[in-house]
Amino acid sequence: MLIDEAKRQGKPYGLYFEDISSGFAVTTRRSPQAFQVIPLVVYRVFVDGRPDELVRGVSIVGTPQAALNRIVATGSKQDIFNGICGAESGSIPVSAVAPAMLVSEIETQRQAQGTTRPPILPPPPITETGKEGKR
Amino acid sequence: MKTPFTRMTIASLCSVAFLATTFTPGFCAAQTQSQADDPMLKAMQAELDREKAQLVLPGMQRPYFIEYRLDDFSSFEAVANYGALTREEEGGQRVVRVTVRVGDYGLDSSTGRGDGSVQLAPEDNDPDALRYALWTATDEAYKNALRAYSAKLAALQQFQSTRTEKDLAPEKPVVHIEPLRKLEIDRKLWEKRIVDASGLYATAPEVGSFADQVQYSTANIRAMTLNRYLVNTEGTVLRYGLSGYNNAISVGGQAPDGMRLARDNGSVAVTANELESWPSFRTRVIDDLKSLEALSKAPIVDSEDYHGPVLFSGDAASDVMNQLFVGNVEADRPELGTSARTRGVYASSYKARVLPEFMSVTDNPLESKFQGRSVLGAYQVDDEGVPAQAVDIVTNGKLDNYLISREPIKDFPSSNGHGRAAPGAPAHSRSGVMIFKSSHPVPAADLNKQLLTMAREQKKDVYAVETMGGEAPRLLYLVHPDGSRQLVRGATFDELDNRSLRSEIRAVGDDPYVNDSLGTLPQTTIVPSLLFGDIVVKRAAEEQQKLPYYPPPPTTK
Repeated sequence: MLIDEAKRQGKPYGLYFEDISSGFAVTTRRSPQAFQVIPLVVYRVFVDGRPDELVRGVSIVGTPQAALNRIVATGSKQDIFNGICGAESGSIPVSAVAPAMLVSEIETQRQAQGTTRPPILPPPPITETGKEGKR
Repeated sequence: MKTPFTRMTIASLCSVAFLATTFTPGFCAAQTQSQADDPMLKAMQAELDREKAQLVLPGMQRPYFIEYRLDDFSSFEAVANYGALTREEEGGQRVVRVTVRVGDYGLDSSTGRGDGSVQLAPEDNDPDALRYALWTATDEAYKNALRAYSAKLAALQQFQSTRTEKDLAPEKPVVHIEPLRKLEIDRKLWEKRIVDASGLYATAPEVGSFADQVQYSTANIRAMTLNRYLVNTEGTVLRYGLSGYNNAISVGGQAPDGMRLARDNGSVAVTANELESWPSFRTRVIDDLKSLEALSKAPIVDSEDYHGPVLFSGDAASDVMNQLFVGNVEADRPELGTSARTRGVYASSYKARVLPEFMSVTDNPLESKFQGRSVLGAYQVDDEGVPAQAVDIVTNGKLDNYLISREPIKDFPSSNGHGRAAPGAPAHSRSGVMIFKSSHPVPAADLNKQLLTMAREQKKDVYAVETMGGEAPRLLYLVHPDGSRQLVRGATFDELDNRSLRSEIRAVGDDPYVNDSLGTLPQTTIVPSLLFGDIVVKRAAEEQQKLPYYPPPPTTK
C-alpha cells in the first residue's frame, strides 16, 4: 500500500519508520501546536522494486491535527509502547497501543548534523584476564 | 531503547548528579598493599601510559600533563521526622575525572575554572570498563584542552603584560597507598536514635509543656566514605580514603509574633564511634528544645542600633572566621591579564597586618588530632599529589602566607599542599585544619570579666553571642554590667568585617572550639572565644509570617 500510495503521488519512494527514539509536542497556548519525532530506524521504500535503503538524519515534524487526518490505513496487529512521559503533571508512566499506520503525507526534516571528530585513539584492548580482576 | 514520548520537552538523558557532600580524612592502622595488587590503579596506569605515548591530533601539540582521578563514593543517610523514620537511603558512585593539559608548565591550556572531563566508572572493579571510561574522557579532555589553549593564546594577545607565574607548578612524584575505607556504622542503632531524638519534643517530660509550639523536628544520620585513586604523568600514584559521619537535630517553630526560630546542630566525626553518645545526643536535643522555648519568650533586640563590645564564643567566632577569613587566604588565581595576586579581600595584603598583633593562624592538615579528638580536615597528601604541609598564614597579626595549590600566584611559585577537590570536581586551594591562636590567651572567665569591665566603663549593656545561624546570631545575650544575662532574638550584626578582624579584636580566649565542617570538602577551623571592641547589633528587618491557624493534631501516645 505504501508503494501504491507513493506511485499514485508520483514519488520515487515512500518512508518506513521502524523505530523512534523520542519525540515531543508543544502544548502551551502561547506556542504553535507542533510536534517532532526523532526516528532511529528509517527505510526508503522504492517504487521501482529496488531493495529498501536504510537512511539516517531524518525527523518528522508537523501539527497533530493535520498529521492525524492523513492516516489512510492501519495494520491488523497492535503494538504496545510503555514509557515515562513528562508533561505539566511531571513524569508519569504511560502506555499507548497502536497498529502500524500508513500516512498519505507527512513532513520530514533533516536533523541537525554533528561533525564531531571520532576518538583519536582506538579503544583500549580488552584483556583476556580482565574479568578476573573483579571482586 | 525506546524513550518516552513527552509533551513539552524531551526527557533528558541520564545526568550525573554529584552529591555535594563531604568526607573526612582520618587514619587507620596502615595495612600494606602495593599498588600492583590494586586492579583499579593498574588499569589507570596502563591507560595513562598508552595515552601519554600515543595521544596526539596530527598537527597539534601533545598533552604535557595528564592526570586520572577515580573517586569511589559511598554514603548512607537516614532521616526521622516527628519520631518516625521518613527516609533511609544508601548510595554509591564511581566517577573518573581526567585532566589533560596542553602547552607547558609555564603557559598551558588551563583556565582556572577546572578543566577536564568526567565519566562514570564501573562499580565492580572491571579494569576493561574503567579503561574505556578513561579512554573517552581523555579524548574529550584533550580536544577541549586544545581548544582552550588556542583560545587562551588568543586572549593573551589583548594584554600588554601578563602574569609571570607558571600555570602549573612542577612537583616531584609521590607514591602513597593507604588502605581502602568502608562505611562502618551500626545502622539499626542510629536509626533508633534519630527516631527517638526527633520524637523527644513530644515524649520528653522536660519539654512536654512546649510540644505544641514545635513546628518541625528532624533528626538525621549521615555516613560517607570516599576512596580516591590518582595517577599522573609525572609518576605520582595515590590511593587514600576519607570518611565522615554526622548526626544532627533540627527543631523549629515561631515566636508568638510570628518570627521564625530554629536550632540546628549535631556532632561530626571521622568514624561513627567518635560521634556523640546517645545520652549526649539526647541532652543536645533537650537543650535545643529548651532554648527554642526560651527564644520564643525572649524579647526582640532593641530597635535602635547598638555599637559596642560583643563577646563571641569559640563556636560563633569559628563561623565568623569561616565567613570572613578562611576563603580570603585560599589563593584563587585572578583573571588573565590582571596583576592582582589572588581574588578576595586579602589579594594585596601580603605582609600587611590583617589580625591583631597577638594573633597567629596556621593551617596544618597533618594535625590529625586536636586535644585527643580526630579532626575532619586532616590529610597526608593533597588531591593534586602534593604532601600536606603546615603553613603559617598569619604570624603576629601579619599575613605571611596564602594556601596554595599547584596553580601558583604572585610571590608563591609552588604548592604548599593545599590543592583539594570535592568528589568529581577539580582541585582548588582550600584549607585543611586552620588553627587560630593568641600569644596571650585569656581564660574564658577573665574574658567575660573584661566584657563586664567594658560595660561598666561605657555605662551600658553589652552583648555576648553563643552560637550563630548562618550570618546572624542565634543565641545572643544582652549582658548587664552586673553580669546578669538576658536572651534576645531577632538581631543581626553589622560592621562585622575584615576591618573589625584587624582592629576590633581586643582579647582572645584559651578555649579553642573545633568547627568540623561537612561542606563540599572536609575542613576544620579551630577558633577560641573572641572579644570585639566595637560591633553593630541591629534589629533584623524580616517579615513575620502568620502562626499556624490550627493547633497541632492530638498525639495518641
